[in-house]
Amino acid sequence: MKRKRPAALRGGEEAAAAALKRGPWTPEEDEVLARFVAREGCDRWRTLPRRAGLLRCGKSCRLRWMNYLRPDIKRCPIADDEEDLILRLHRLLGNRWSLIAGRLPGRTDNEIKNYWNSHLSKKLIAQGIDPRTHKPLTAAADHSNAAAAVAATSYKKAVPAKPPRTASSPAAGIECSDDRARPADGGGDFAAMVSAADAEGFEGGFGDQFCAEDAVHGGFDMGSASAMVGDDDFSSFLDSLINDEQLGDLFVVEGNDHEHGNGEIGHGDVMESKQ
Amino acid sequence: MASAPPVQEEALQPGTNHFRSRLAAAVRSISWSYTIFWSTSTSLPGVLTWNDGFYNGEVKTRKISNLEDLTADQLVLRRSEQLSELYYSLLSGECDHRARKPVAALSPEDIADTEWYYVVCMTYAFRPGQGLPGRSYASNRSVWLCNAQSADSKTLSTCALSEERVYSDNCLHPLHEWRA
Repeated sequence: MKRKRPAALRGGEEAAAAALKRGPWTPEEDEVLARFVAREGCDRWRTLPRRAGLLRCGKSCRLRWMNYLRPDIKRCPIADDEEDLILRLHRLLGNRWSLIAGRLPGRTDNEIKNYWNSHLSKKLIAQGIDPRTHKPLTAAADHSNAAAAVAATSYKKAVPAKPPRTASSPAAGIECSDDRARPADGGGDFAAMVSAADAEGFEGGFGDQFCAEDAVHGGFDMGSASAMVGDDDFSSFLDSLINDEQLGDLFVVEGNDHEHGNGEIGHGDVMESKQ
Repeated sequence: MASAPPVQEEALQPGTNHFRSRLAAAVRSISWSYTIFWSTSTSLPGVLTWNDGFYNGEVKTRKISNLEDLTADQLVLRRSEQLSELYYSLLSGECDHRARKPVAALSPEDIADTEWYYVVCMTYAFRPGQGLPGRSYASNRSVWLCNAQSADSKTLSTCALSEERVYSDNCLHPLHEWRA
């Protein structure tokens, strides 16, 4: 009798599929996965478990590799400049942790989310800033502060507490929950972050977050011999950078004038956070 | 054959086509990744904020209508405008209203790391003496930071943006005439 079912669904493999492992990874599994990825790469997670001989689903393997095993993961606490960048990116992207983590080498989206919920959102509230909108808190500051404190202790929450306002904020739509499984070492990561948080004090007001830090350790600073004054000097400066006069002509022909009035309004929104 | 610059030259007023064309020509001519013009903010007197800029680096995903037939120079101008538009749309939270977005608008997934660096620069503001732009403004001198990839991270403030740093030198030039 001709079998209609695909070969992949034969009894033996069905039993194997039903027995897929869950829960903490063993050191032996870690080694198998790390060796396999080092040898074969990780471009097809769906079929990787079978090819590597692991009794786990592709998602579990990918999470283990991305959040724990890959060699370029940083183990050290988040530095001040990384924190500054997280704040700026969160202002623009909201809770899109993958996009934010993608801009911080060696950091995972899970780590960034935990750091935000356990440390940065509370820091902003202490400075009178709404961590969802990055704008000054309203008269409901006390209530939202308490709500955020509750939320901060619940590590499974994907987003920080929302202020109890019926009016919807434009930024609310940007938020998206991250429902990925928490890796087995989540607790350890959080402990490290708590330690880092204890070590750090709040330095200055929120305004400093949107101003570059003073250059206390300058690089090779080569100032020009004499002070320059007036726009003629700037014009000469630009001329010295332009090697081909024809190139300048090409741009002069362009008629589009970019509107900058809107730019000022935008900057006002950012600077508003300082006041 | 290069000719000597004219003695009497038109003043460079920020915001004009002439000014923008000179900025763009400068960044294109020497193949810099970007150029940014910082000027004092109208809402925060004495604080330098982003006024204009041109991006001339790596492009990840192009979004330009097929009907447009653009030269290489026009592509640079268009990309710079698209990055600026992306920044303001993210700032205002418009990104969630996808139905209203123009078809050629960029989304955060469309830009490369170096473009992210350029966009994040728009969030910065410098007091006089603070950061490289602030130092240049306060001292009224050009500041060349050579071997920027080796500089202390606090000097550049956004070193964490990418491990493959694409800039090798930074130059900040003061504009005395536009000081408030």
